[in-house]
Amino acid sequence: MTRALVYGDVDLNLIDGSAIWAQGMVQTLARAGCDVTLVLKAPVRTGRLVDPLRALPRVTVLSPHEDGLTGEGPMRPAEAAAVIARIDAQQPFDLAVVRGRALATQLAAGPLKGRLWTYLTDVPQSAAEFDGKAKGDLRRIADASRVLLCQTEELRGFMEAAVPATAGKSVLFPPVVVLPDDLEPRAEGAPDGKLRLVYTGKFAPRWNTLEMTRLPALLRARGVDAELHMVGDKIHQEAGFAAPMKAALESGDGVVWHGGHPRAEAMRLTASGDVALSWRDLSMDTSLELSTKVLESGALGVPVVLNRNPMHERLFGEDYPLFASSESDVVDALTLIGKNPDLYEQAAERCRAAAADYSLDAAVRRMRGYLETTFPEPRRNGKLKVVVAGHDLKFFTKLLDHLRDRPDMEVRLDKWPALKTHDPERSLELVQWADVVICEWCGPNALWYARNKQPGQKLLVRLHRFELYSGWPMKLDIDAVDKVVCVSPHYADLTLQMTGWPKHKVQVIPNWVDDEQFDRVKLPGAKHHLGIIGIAPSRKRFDLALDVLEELRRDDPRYTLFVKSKLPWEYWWIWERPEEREHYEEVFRRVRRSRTLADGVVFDAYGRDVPAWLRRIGFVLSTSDDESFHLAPAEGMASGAIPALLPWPGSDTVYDTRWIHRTPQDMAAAIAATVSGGRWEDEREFARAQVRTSYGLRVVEDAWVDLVFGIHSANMELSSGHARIPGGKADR
Amino acid sequence: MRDRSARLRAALRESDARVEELERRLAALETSTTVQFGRIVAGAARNPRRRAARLPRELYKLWKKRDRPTESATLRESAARRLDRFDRPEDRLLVQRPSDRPVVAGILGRAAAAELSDKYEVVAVHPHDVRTVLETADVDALVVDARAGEPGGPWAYLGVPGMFDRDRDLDEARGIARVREIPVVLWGDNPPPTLAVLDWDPVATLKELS
Repeated sequence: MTRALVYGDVDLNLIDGSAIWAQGMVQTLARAGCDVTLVLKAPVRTGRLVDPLRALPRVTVLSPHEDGLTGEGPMRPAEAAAVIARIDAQQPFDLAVVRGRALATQLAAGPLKGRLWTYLTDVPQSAAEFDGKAKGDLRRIADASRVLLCQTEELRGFMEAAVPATAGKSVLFPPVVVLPDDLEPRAEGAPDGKLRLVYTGKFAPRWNTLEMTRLPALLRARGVDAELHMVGDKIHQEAGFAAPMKAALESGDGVVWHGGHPRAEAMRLTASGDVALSWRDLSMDTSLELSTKVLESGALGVPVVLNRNPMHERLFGEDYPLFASSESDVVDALTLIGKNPDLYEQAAERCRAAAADYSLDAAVRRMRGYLETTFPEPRRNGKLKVVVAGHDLKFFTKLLDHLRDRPDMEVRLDKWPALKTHDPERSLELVQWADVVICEWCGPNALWYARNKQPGQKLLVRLHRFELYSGWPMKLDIDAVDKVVCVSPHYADLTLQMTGWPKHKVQVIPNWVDDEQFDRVKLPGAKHHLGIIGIAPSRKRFDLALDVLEELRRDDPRYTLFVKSKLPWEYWWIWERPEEREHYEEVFRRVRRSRTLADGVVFDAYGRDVPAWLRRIGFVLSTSDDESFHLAPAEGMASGAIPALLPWPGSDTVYDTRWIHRTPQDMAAAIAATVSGGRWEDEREFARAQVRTSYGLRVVEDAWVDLVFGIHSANMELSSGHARIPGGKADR
Repeated sequence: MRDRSARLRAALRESDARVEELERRLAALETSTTVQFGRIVAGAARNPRRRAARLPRELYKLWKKRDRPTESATLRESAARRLDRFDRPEDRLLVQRPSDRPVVAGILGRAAAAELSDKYEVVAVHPHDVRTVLETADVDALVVDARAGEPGGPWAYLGVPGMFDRDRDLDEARGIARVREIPVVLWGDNPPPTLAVLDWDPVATLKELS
């Protein structure tokens, strides 16, 4: 059973958004199968939130104040971090979900490093707010966190671009809407009689609460009989606001003020209304977070008036009838639905459907997925001893993480400082310890381990394009090697041809795509955006990508090429070669001078935020002269973009031929036809399904685990232009 | 070798940034009332004959200025260092660009670019060339189109919440323009909220350029 600790820098005596978060998180983890320990920040003064949690199975509530672990009053972050470390030391947790930047910063330096699942909040929300301290704090938090939980896609993408250390470990964990058990949602059907508007929350200028009090009168002038029910008692004390706000609450025309109420009662009042109001000042639309109250209204079957912004458009649909950005918009929208029962029903249904994705059930499904990835099920008792040896593990990191996460393996690393350099004593010690050795790269590391392999030990070697032409494979004692793994059938064939090794020694396991990380909602208009990842060295043929773009822009200037790459002059070994420099001088001159390409090429910064960047890309290009696999099109496919390749040797053994075009002109014609023919959505979904089946991370991980455990039936074969795993494995 | 030196330069830059952060924290600490109180009391304890007599007066002075904001020397120096990066007009003065009309640097969509080019020499700014263009071009204003972030253009998604890179590029452009004291104008109606909340010079400023 996975043991989880939950600590939010929140006082559970006060019912606010962060307390509701803690409640939702504990329930989610418990239902996802964890033993949950909730540590309280403050002494218990009321059991309203805590008592129901104590009653849940698999949930323990710890009060450090009652247990004498801390003094009086709510714990400050440093104090809380020390208390959590003491609790953990008694019986270590598998994971600790924490909320609050100050607290997470403290914990990042402590013994929970590596086990933190940090829920990101109180972080900068614009580039201008990001100072050195924020970046430093967040980098340390990211380094110490196993998982970063982000409330919205906007926040996740923003963090990945601003703090690269967050990339690869950030996952979505949206607000959880938990309705009180005995609360009945609003009965379906349009209002008959008076239109009851409801607002719950604080009264403050940016929440437009004073403006709301004018709505009943304005609606009456339009022939809609309405009253406004306002729930809450916190009036923002600002000169020029507090007095008129209070007056409007007490004696506003058509305004009914209910005063402050507990959360459950406020929700009951919302459910008794017809329309909830969440229309706010435009400055609130810059937020990267989502209002839980909006979702709660949806779950209660009460449609919401709210600002039109990209996040809300995605949630409710662009044609949602209750978007508003000004007072007149609000009056128009309410008049429309006040007089049109069908439209009212449509709005209510949209809200209900949107809220369903934020239910406790949905949160539990998400959490189970994250837990399964992080804590895989064992295949056997005991631990297989595995050594991974190599000088550069960047192409093996995800697999290495998975092998390390497995409870049935113990993994040790033999990190060679350079291709030919290692610590022989360390290597000798490891080779005597291991059951299985995996050599990443078929270089001197593979030669050393082949020479020193122990009886009964298994040796696996992963061979890339680079070594094939280096001469190292020719020197390898293939009899000592159990399997050489190549990433594509083409390179497997080349390897066999060049080395003369027996066929059964070479196996294809492709590169992988972390398909769950790349699976993100596309941004509007992405279908006119081409992407290319990596344009150096010249064999990447950036010039051919420009040919494609030029063709497309002759007919439609919306086509834009976004380049995610270091620039060629940022690689000294490329820039010192005259022929390379000449190539790029010419290519960049073309970008500068061509009228067709003007404003059509954007060089985005190289970085680890590729999944977030791909949200804006509709087609990913691969125009290279030569590749062994080329991950970029596969990553594009996983992101929901369409791959477009020119036929580099072996491309048809990695990708379906439907994505491969004979010339740049053919590629441009295919792209234009896909977009103008309205096939972009269907094609991209097809591509996404294809890449998940063939190169999804779980599929490839399983193939490697099969190989490490000695199950040799996982050879990946070719089928209709793309790789698949026989035996039905690919269909899981 | 060059790669190594690039790595070392990057490490040096990062170290500089860390030192700067630590200097700021230290400066903030040193100017804090708590630390000063501790120093005064400790000083008096170490040297009771000379300093104990001054203790009440020093404590009173400290109490009197307890809420007064202070700016640390480190902060002023680092701000100057940052300004140095922008405030190098000499290279820009070497670049010739003859024009009888005002020159505006533009973060623009297609329609705004066409409209503005009727009256002004427009220097297009792209996300990747903000610094290069603005540091070399002799422009009279920076104009940001409210619709520049529409898809199908180089500034696609400018103004959409969460687009850190576009947000950062715009911030850089505005920062350079402000340091150069060039007007920064938001052009067009219904800007996205993330642009609307920023401070802009009035559109009328452009007319004054003519």
